[in-house]
Amino acid sequence: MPYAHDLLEQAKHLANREKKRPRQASLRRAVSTAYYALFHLLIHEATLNWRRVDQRATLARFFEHGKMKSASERQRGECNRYINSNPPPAPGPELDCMHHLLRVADTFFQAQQQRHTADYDSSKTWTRTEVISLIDRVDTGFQSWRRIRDQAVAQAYLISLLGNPKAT
Amino acid sequence: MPYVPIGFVNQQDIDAAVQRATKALAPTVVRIRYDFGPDWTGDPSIFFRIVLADEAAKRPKLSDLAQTVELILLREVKVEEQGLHAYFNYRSLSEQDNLKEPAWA
Repeated sequence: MPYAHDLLEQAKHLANREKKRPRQASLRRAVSTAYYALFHLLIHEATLNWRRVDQRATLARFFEHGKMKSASERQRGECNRYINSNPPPAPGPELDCMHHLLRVADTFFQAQQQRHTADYDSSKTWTRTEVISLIDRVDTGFQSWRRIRDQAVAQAYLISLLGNPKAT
Repeated sequence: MPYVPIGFVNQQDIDAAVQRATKALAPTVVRIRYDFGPDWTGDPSIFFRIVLADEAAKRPKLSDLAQTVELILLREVKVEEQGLHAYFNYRSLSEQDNLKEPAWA
């Protein structure tokens, strides 16, 4: 998705905009932009499953930051339980997938908090290392997503980002 | 996640766990500080501030280093058992020497 990738590239640009003495404005916007890169990537991937192309933008507006946090927290828990189960799962594609999905969900979780701080907490001073470590994390999240996007468990994560379904 | 008031967290245990993690991660990690507080949705959380050696902070894939640091920290601190979310921020030693922020000292 070009927009999400452009946002990630923009985050990197902002983080490195000033060679010396990076401005807080650049660093804060870099953090926020990195979060929104992952936010829009996941939403775009989710809405790709909606057949009516002209309605995908409308569907995208149903996703909420808070619900996406809850879904990512649940997914992290599920991935960790699987990875750390006793006996441990056998090495293979399923285990690899869960590691990548954990990376994506955890990255989203972390980036969201950082974005909130960057956008609303003016008391915090950011450094380039702080920002680049987050952007690098998001970049790795993108790579992990690319590896697993067609897996059933990854697609289930996408739909869960909309919120908890009613109990049956 | 069930709500656990920060007052019920055993700070001595966490202090000891953070020290163990710092020792295990030396010399890449210079020191680790932390605070408790609500995250942006109000969930009780622990916020780690990790000072990296300058050489470590220059690595091309900081996310790999961060993953290692967080794995070891979480293994020691057991934040889930404490009912906490964990968040991580990283700074190089030079950056901190320049800023001299008490919270990272």
